[in-house]
Amino acid sequence: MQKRAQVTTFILLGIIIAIVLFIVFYFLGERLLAQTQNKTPFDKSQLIPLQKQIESCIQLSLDKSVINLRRNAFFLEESPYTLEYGGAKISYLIYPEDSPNKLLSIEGVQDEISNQIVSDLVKCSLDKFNNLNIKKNDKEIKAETTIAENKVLIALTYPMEVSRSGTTLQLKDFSYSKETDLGAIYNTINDIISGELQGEFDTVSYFNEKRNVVINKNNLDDKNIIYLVSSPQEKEYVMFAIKR
Amino acid sequence: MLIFLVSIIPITALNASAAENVCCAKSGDNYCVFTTEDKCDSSSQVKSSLGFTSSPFSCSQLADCKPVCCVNQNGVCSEKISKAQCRNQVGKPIDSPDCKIPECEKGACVIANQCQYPVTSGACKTEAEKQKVKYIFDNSVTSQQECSTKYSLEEGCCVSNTCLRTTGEKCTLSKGTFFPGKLCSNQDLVGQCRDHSKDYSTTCNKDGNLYHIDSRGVLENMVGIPNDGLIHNKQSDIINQQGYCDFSKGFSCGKNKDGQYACIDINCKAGNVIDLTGIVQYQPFTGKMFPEQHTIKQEDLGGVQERKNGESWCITPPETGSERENKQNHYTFSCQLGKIRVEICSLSGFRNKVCLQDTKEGKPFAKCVDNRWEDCWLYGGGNSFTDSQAFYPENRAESKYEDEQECLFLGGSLDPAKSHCTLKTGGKNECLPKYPPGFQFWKSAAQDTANAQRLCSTRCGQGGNARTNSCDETECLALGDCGNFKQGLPWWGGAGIGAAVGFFSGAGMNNLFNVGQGGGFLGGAASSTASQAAVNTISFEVAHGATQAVAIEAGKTAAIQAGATAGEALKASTAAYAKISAGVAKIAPQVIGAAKTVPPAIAKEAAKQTLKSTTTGVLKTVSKEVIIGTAVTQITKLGIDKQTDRTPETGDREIYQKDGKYYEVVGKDLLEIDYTSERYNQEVREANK
Repeated sequence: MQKRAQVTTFILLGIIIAIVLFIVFYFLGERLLAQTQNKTPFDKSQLIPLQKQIESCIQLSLDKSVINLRRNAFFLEESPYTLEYGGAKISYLIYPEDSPNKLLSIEGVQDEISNQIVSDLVKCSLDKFNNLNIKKNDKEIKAETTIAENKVLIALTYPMEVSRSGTTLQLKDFSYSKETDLGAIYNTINDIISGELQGEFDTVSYFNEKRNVVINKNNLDDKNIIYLVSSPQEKEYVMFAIKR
Repeated sequence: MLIFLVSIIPITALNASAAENVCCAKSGDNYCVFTTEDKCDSSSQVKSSLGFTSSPFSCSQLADCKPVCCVNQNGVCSEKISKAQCRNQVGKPIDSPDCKIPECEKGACVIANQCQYPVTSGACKTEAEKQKVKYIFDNSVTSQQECSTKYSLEEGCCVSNTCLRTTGEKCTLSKGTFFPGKLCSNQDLVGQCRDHSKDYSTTCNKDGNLYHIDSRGVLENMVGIPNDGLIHNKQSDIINQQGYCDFSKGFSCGKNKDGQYACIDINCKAGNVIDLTGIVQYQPFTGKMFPEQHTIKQEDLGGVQERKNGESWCITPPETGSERENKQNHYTFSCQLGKIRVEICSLSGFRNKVCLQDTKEGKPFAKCVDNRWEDCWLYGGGNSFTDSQAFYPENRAESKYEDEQECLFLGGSLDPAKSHCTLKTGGKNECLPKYPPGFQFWKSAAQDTANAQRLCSTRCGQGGNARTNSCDETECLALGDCGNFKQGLPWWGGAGIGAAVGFFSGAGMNNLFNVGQGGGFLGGAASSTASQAAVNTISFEVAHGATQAVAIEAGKTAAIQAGATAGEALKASTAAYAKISAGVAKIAPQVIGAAKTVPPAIAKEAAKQTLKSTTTGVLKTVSKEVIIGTAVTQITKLGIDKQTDRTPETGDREIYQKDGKYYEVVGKDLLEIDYTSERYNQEVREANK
């Protein structure tokens, strides 16, 4: 009899514990779960989506710049020296003035891209990371662009502090690389401009020497020449004009 | 006491000898030497550079003789030398005799692809600054051999996260492990580079030759070289191999008819089908190319069956005979990688440049040169003209040539093939331009700076022998585009001659629009301004696919607005439409002779190009496209409603109008497109058609 009473007590105790646990999890389960999640250590790996977002903003800005550079013969905005042709304004890269060479230096083009990226990145939306406390240092943002033959490389320094649950991490360096023949086209155009400034550029001889460049030269009239230069694979084109 | 005496005697003795010796700052070639004073270098130079010549104290007691680490001007570190010596070498003494400082850390110094070991970081930096080049300093390198391997330009397999074929230098910089001379598919690397099966496929390498690639796309050896796991890239290894595409013999790597990579023939042969990608196929306002398929014909190759890669030749209009009236443009054609490239010598049709055929390095070579027609009519003095008035200074002959020679010389060369003047004998001995010049057909005669070329009265009949020369049809035609000179022909006759050949090339536009003496199809009743307005408007309408009625009506309205009567406007517009629409289909083939199978869409695109280029001021639109972001994000952000904001008229194109701006979805991107309403309406009209 004594033993049966003892067993009953334990059964009752067990049922009570089960009920308590059920009530606790039923009403406080979500809060507990959230607390557990918040206690997941906040480390650099959790900044990867943020890093990708910044890189995607760099990509957008660079894509836009590359389109404009192709269209305006390495000017980001319409050049003050243009020729109307085929419904578009074609930039003059030689114009008879004190300094007739209007082609921006490669460093100048790189700087233009960098400045554009800096200006676009400040506006880069990070709204989707509202679970993080992000402090961006817009004053210290700095971009460095390198135009290589077949790619454009961007190195961005954008210091930011990202905090969550009392932990603060630093993010600073971002990079992006875009496959484009812009550099190869630039080099060819630079050679054309040098040739034209020295006399007359001979496309056939240039082809025989360099093999893989594609240049279309068309004499519009006795003063204006239109060039169409493309990458070796003929995927990208840059049109420009020269005035004698 | 005895002990005291014993101990003091030697000291006294020593002090006695010390009294004789001094510490010399410099003695011979040595510094800080404790010796007799007479051996010290007591020159003023030593005193000024070291601060002393001798000191009665022992050298170890002197700060100037303390051993230091000396860093000289070239960054070279010397251990344990006296401060005096360091100062004499104009070095920087550092109080660390063993030179255990970062500046003196030894390692590999890489400057201009040359690796040297051991070099201090300071010396490396100094040398690079001297040469104004970048440098790499690597203190992990412990031998010259390691230095050479790690920073070599030799190719090998670089193992890091992936396996890549690259140079030792690039591999080291990317923190990979470098295996010089080995392919990544080498059996020895099977542990590090998994799934790199050898000779998996082929590709074209940057050098224009055909190579094998492994199953991960990593470059291997040239096709034809047996795969022994090692890289074979010496010239002697690759020459005459199956994958060696000999450029000098007209071969380069590319895709063959079956789409496989192979050494393909890059000479231009009649019958080959190519994609034309020139200025005519390019649309400047979108920056897009619309390649046009074309079968190469013998006439495109200047009458031969084959042209070698790199050759160029002239395609010019006939110079004599009844076809002389066909004053088309000149073109320089060239064969580049199996494709024909065209340089239009004078896109505007001025014929201010003409094609000159020559040879260069044994190959046919052509180029566009200035048309030196101006001086031809100075031949023989004419009416008091002399060659001293020659337009081109080099044409001023010191002594007069006789007859033909003088004429040829005025054309720039005594070689009849190269001279731009030709003597027409047969009594009058007229020296005529070989290539008649054009004029600014889109301007009124009064505004045209080359107006003299329109007229047969200004120059015609003045060259040659003044007493016998008179202006005849031949001379008039040679001096300009007065193509309607034929006596007795009405104005439309002149226009017809021009129009029949006109649109074969852009230059033919001259014939179409000519005005001036002898008339011109628009030079009659309607004023040139009104006529031009009609031409411009109709050109635009035709180029954008308008119907005949719409185009003529638009042209008529434009002509009336420019001052013509209704009758004149209708007459001018009808004539303009007939000529323009006839010409449109012929414009596209201009780049490559008379191609007959030009798709209408391409012809229309080409027409847009040429017509737009010649109708300045008609098209005010410049379409701009700017990617503003991914479509999904930006459509939401801009609040575009896909149903209500979509413009239904634009067919397959997904264009939205929101807050006065136009947006188009292209792929994943949303582009802001800057259309003026005029341009937009044209697009809509085209889409509807």
